[in-house]
Amino acid sequence: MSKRLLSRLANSPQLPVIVLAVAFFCWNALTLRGFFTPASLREFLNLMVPLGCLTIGSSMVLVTGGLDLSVGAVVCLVNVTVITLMGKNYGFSLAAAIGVGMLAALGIGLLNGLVVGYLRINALLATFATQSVAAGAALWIMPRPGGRGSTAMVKWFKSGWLAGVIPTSALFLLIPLVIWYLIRATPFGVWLYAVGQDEQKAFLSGIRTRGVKLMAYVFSALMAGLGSIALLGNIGGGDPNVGMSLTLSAMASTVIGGVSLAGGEGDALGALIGAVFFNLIIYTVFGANLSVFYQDLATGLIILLGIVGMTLYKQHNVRKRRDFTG
Amino acid sequence: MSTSPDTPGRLSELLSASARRYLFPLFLIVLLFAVGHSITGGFATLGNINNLLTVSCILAVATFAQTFVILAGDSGIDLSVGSIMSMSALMVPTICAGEASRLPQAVIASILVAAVFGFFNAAGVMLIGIPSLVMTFIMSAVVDGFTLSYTMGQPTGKIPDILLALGQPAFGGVRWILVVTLIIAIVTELYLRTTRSGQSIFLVGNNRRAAALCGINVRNTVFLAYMLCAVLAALGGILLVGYSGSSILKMANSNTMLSVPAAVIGGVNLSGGEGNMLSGFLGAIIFTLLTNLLVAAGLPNGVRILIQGSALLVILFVYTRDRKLRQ
Repeated sequence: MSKRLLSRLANSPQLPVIVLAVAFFCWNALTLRGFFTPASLREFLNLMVPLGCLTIGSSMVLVTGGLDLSVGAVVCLVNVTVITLMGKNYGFSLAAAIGVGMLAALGIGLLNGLVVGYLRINALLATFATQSVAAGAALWIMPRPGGRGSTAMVKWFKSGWLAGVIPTSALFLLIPLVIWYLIRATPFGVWLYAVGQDEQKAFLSGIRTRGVKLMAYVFSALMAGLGSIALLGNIGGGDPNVGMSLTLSAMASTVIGGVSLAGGEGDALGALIGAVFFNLIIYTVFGANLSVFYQDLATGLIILLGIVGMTLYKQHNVRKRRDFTG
Repeated sequence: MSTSPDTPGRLSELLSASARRYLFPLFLIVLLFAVGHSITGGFATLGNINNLLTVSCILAVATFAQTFVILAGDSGIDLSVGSIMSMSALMVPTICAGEASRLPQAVIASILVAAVFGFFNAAGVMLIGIPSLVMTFIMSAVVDGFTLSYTMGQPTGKIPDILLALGQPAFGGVRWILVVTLIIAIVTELYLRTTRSGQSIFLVGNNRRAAALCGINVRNTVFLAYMLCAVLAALGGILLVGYSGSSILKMANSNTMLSVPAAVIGGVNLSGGEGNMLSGFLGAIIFTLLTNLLVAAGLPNGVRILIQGSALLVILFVYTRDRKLRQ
């Protein structure tokens, strides 16, 4: 049993990112004082949840051969919607405000699916345009940072436990992962990969490719909305620019996690491990006593090397498989 | 010699090609000016048109740069253009430190550094096989990080007067920056159309295998395209700092994503091998006009960005729809 698991691990496309994540985790645990303590690990989990949600969502879009640059802006839009509705002028309850915020995310997801799937506009340019739509709407609703969310929710998110064993913030990753793998087990899951591998063939096999793409973008936007709520659990305030930098992080993590930009390859768990790796690097660089001016450069270079390693490993694997099958 | 029967066909073909390339963008530009003039009087005055043309030069140079990489094909795209522009915009004043005599070495240094980044982009794409979009997107973060560590967050040094002259009129109100941009457009266009290496970029973009069979070194040509793109981006950053007279971190990063649709409006095919520079200029003017129009209309920031995104969607819908799967 364990032997089978090991050989599956050795052949999995996610092996490099697993190795990288474990290596950086050990490095952090050995070199950063106080990293390997329950409180600090809980903090690490809390901080990585928003990016984790985004990568789970992005992975589905990438599997269909698409790309979603609007996720960061959706995080902003949901953030300002929830905070504004909870403010004095509207007085919504937390649940109602989150509901409306998720509706806003759904709207952007539908727009993405419509323009990419049905209107056949290049995914990169289309989702860049919808990014402007969502970011513009966020700035319109809340021109400058302000407002407060629910402190009870922050407390629940940051230090709550479910049944005494599961950290509440982990629910934001566990439930989507379960949903992702349930979807994958259905015929729709097969269609997702079919569309990503060869859209023409998928279409000729009778798959409604446009609808499949639409659903992938909707899932991605909803996951970005969930990520935004997780972010709210971390910071508890409103900021119209809060998520913009997450777009690049999400794409980098998803690709390092073994999801191919060409489509039809990879899954949510790999992407999530990519997000773990991304956050571990931030800790490593932050703890390395580098001057603040060198931190961005160091982070960027490590990410770049991670992607180089991932790509080389993948090609090696393809070559090995080709040799094996002749 | 009976060419007369197919002459009308060719003529209409030629007309429709140039209509796509020049007439539609020109029509859009006139339309935007008309709308702008009806919203705020004085938008379509000669002075303001001159100003808008001047401002659009920066995006135009970014578009020229982007065009090289897109032309080389294989879904090539360079998302580090804006970051490299910001880098040279900050590097040049820092090296010059106010002394005009150091300008040549500052310009050469920033162009060399840009070429190195372009080289790494090409190496990641061609030698390692990372998708161009991912490689250049991550590279933009690396370049931003490099700029931050090089300048320590604060650009030091005064900009030499020679550079500031870019924002001054050359003749009859036309500023130097516009003259320089037009020269860049003409030189790059001539390079692409008339030189052997320029033509091989087109061939490589159209069909890599065929180009290789013709004896073209595909790898070197793609390297050349990425490096030329980075060098042009560095030039664009120098123009920007000369024109604006000050530099801040990431000041040109917004040009990255606009340079792609601007090139597309100019007739560049996103899958490579087709396009030109001069009409890319028109694409850059359209996006600059759109931005300025919305600013002139006095809309709040958020609404402006929202409308800009929606307008981009409409333009993309007109220009870049993929073919139907049911052919």
